[in-house]
Amino acid sequence: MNFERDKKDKMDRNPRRRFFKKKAPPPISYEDRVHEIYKISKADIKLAIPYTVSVDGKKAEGFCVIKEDITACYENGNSTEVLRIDNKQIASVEFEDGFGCAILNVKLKNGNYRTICCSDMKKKQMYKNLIPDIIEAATGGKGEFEKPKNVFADKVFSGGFGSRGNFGGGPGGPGGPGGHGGSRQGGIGAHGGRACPKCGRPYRPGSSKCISCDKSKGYMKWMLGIAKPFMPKLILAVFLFFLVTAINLVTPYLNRIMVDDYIRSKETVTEFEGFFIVLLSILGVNILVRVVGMVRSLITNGISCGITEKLRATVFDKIQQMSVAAINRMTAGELMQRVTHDSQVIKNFIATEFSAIVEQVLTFAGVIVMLFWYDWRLALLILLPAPLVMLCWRLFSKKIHRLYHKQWEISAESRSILHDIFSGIRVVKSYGSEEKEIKKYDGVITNEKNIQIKNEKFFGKVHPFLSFFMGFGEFFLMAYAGNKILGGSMTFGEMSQFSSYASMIYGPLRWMSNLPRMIIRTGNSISKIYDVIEDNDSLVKQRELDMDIKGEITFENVGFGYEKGNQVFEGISFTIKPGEMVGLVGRSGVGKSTLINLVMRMYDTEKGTVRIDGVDVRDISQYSLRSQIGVVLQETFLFSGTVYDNISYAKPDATKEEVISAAKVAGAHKFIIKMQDGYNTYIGEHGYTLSGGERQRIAIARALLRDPRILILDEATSSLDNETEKEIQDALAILAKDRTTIAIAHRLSTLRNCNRIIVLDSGKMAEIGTHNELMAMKGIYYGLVMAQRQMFRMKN
Amino acid sequence: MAETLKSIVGSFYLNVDNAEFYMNGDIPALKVKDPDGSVREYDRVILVRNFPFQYEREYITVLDAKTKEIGVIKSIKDFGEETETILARELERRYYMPKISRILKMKEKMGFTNWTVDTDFGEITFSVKDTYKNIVKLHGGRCIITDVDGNRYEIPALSGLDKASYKRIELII
Repeated sequence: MNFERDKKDKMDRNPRRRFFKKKAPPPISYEDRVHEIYKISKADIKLAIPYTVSVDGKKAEGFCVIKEDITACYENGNSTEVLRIDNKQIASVEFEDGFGCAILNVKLKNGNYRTICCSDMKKKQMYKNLIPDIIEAATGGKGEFEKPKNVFADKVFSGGFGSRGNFGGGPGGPGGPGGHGGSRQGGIGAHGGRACPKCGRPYRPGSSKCISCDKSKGYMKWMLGIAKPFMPKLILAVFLFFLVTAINLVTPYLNRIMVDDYIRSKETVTEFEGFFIVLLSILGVNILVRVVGMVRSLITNGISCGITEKLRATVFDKIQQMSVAAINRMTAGELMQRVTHDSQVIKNFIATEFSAIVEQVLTFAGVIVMLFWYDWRLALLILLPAPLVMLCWRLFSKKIHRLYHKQWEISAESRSILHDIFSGIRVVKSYGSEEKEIKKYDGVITNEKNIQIKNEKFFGKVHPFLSFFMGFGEFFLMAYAGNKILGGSMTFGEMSQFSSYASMIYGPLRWMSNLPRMIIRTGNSISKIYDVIEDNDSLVKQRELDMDIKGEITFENVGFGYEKGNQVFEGISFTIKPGEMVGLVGRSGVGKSTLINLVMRMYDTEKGTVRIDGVDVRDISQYSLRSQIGVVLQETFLFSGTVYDNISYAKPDATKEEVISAAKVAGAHKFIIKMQDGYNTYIGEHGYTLSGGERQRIAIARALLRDPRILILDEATSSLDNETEKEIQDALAILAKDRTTIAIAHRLSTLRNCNRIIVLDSGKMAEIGTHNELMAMKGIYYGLVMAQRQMFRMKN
Repeated sequence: MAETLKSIVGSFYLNVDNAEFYMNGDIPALKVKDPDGSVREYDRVILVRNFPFQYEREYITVLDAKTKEIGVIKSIKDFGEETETILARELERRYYMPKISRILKMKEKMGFTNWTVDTDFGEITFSVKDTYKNIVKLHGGRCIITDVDGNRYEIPALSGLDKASYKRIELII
């Protein structure tokens, strides 16, 4: 590695340096770098992939280069090949998740595996994305190779390769050759990686955008757009700020006239008229300041509330439009935080901090002008300790901020412990660990108390000194002005005027030291909201067809993964005829629920097409599609409201008879009428006042009420006892007659009414057929059935 | 939807053609004629309001002595005046929900609110815990209040209360 690049890489990772850097150099492709370092002719290189760990686990700077007929690796600027594979020997390429590292392996036709690249986790996504390119480069697009497969090393350690993880965790060299955008990195999907491909900075939690690269200008522009309708009011508010500041500056002047001309006047005052005029104008100015201030704060509050409302509505709207994939990247708490807290921070900024900035800056400027206008020497004297005070305040405020931050953290901890214990109180009680929890909580609150006491002590000790320094400027003023008054060249009133100005100047100074923190906090909130607004991961809208669904579902060679390159399943093809009832069977995590999510188009497929009645689901309008699908999920979600509200959620205009009928079929009616308030019974948040089985039956009623053309039952009856389940199953079997039903169940007896059963295994469709056909095949399904029978026998 | 569902649920609605209510002492009894012509007799039935806050005389589920469901009545009016009286009387008997006309006193103490109210059953004193949970507001300013013992009280319309009464409960509703 040459020195120059090392320096540049270090610079890239230093945020300060990066901040001052004007423009990033144009990215150099990996191929060019290989050409530069290893002197390989560009025409030979079909693909170059960087790596940072050598095959024997040492730190290395190398490239795997795929040429026309061979794949070779070069390391540490040395142009001898450390690995050479004949391309004709390569059978397949696979990505391996190491422990803290990402690995690319090739399988040779003789069954051997060779590692071609290994790097720290930074390149994980890039390696995954590159697999198709590697195959393309090595075969020349003839496609005679096997498809790449993923090795989920974090779940199943595959032989010797898993151990490779032990060394990958170390720092992957100073940035590595891939320090910034090589040609391949452009292909990294925004959602897969954890860091910005441009600058290498990690994304904020829950975000898929780099704030520094994507939107340094964007979000201010967007904010201005939001504030646009409020502009006239905002301008008026700023004008009022000018007014208040100007009036404020007049007060000391009036005081001076009062003191010099009347109170301490050397001549005996005879004209009381003038005295009263000055007195009244002081009163008038005071009243005026309050009135204008009131109007101003009314206006700014109005603006800020308006903006908050607009922000919240915009964010909420946007979240509703987002795809499930995008929403899944954030927790419910985070989304709530963005809608409520972040918009509140922005509101506070506009209502209080923005006003304060304008006010303080104006006052500061005004006072300085006044001071210099009257007596520049005095002005300099007053300003003399200002830098010192600023510095002191800055230092102390940093320390104080740290102390309070600590206090805040410990109180957050105690809160979260409380939350944890209270929500799991039944577990605590059933394990008899009350004593333990009491001790734990006691420990935290004692700690909290100690920190509080320490903070208060510190503040109590330091604050008086700080105030003393703050007032230092006034000492200078006193000394200078007192001297002048004694000498007769200054009046007492003038001194009081200066003194007022001096005290007015230190307020803004003190305040301004906090300014950066406020701006950073608000900036953070704005960017977080902007992040949601700018998320482009909504499902692609295409033809938006409205259609009456008959119920034929076709999967054509469908492949899907939640992360790019990390396929849940692949090559799934089948057709479900209208009115057919199909069961989905397979181990946990095999992708059964994912499959039905694709039918509902919660996600878009990566490969292949899902069709309903021969139409691509992407062409059907979401409303049309989902309003004709009824779903009962494994985790039933009920809103807080009455039983009736929850059932009729699927069809708000349903008649009472329809609701009762649906509840009857779902087996819910009999327990509903036994509750005192019947259908008017209020069920609390998430329906926790009901048992799991009751919740499930209400959810089934909700799905039935919709009269869906396609009914999806994802472990819909798993929380029910056998007898109730049978009752509902029988009712569902009749209902399912003229509608397509897809049922997922672990309890295989649930699927006895199914026309056909699809068995998923290792990301593929392993078996399909009727119960009898599958039993005769003696495959996976047969094994599952036998295992369940065994268990059933053991239970009895 | 309704068609398919109905075919499964069968004729679970009781009407004047298939059901005959009569008094068995103080309690209503029922004869049900099944579609095949056979008659089931119940010497005691229990009436349950499906939507007690919305419908007093409609959507009534009829249970037998063992609380097994016999059927649902859409509206007791459909049965003719005589049966309607029987059923209405039984519902009145089973559902005790005094109507509050005035609120005489209201005090908040340690998370409980103690009410003294004037109702169609005379003056009643009761206490309510967690008012946000136990006061249900319905359309038209109607309120259902559940006290600590599980008794229900009804304010037919908030607008019907006198000013003093309304002022007393204004903060908790």
